[in-house]
Amino acid sequence: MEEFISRFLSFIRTIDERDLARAGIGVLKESLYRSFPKEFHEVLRTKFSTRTGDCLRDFFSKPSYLRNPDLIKADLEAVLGAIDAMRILRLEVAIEPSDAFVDRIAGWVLSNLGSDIVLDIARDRTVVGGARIVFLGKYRENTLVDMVKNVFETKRDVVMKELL
Amino acid sequence: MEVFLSSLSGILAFLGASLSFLAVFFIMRSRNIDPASASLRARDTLSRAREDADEIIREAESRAEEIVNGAQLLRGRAEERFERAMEGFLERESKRLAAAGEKLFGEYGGIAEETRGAYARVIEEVSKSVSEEARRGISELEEFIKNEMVRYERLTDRGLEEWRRTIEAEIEKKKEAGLKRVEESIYRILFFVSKEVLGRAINLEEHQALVVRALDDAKRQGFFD
Repeated sequence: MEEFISRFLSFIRTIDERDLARAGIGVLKESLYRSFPKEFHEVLRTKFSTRTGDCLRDFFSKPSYLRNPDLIKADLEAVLGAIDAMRILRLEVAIEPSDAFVDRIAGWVLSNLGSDIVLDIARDRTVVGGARIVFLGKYRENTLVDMVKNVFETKRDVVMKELL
Repeated sequence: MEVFLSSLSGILAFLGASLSFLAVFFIMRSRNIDPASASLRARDTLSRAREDADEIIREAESRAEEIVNGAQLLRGRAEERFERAMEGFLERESKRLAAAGEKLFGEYGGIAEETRGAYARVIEEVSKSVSEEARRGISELEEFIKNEMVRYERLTDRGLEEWRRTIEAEIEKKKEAGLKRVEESIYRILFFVSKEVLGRAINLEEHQALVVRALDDAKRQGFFD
């Protein structure tokens, strides 16, 4: 189960995807008691992203779940609990985050920090380059503007000498 | 200065009055002149002489004060005026004292011929003595005023020097503040231009690489621990 949850969470890259998955699981739980499994699969198809929907479908296709909606429900709640416990990594970057960009950053996060981390990416032009990082109440400015500022502060005399 | 002038006028008046009175009293007693009326007239004359002397001193005071005040503006002119004032003062004083003596002499015109010579000599002595005393006092006054002028000039020079230093320091401070402000402006412009140019010069791929690098750095620095 843990392996499944970890895998499922790895498909959730951003807080928008997390909210979508959370809402989808809510609908999925309700579908269990209405013409199961037909409606269950319909919800998986329509309320989840391809990757998360496929992941859940694969997992709950096991014979042990076939006639046991209560067991599915219990495991879904475990997944929901894991989603709620995901830690947020906020990144403020200079560019509009494209899907490819989010994928690349999410790949880095998965490899370096684990699957229980969800990205909250925002655009801020003043960053210029790099990222302003906020994680578990901590803050770090690894931005290009910060690097330039450091150069200007530490090499002020040199800069002014060149200029004047 | 006022204390000095008051003292001087007091000395002059006292000296003149005492000498004249004593001389006249002595002559009258030796020549059997009616002491009551002569004494009254002598007192009256001496009182007027004293008033004259006081007036002279007051005028000198006023003149000296004007000179001291004028010295603040034009030293040369003030000195010239001072000299003129002193000469005028001495001349006037001599004249007035002589007139006072003549007045005294006139009052006793009725005194017997034989006593007139002695009386005139006494009066002459009195006038001479009073004049010399006044001259000496005026010299002291002149010296005093000159010293005051020198002292005042020194004070003024010192004040000007102090003022000049303050102004210079103020100008220097303002100049430094202005330069600093200009430097700050240039610095801010340069910083703004640098980041703008950098931001536009980086392509999408480089932006992504920079974000990954930022995450790598944060991890290496233990930010995620």
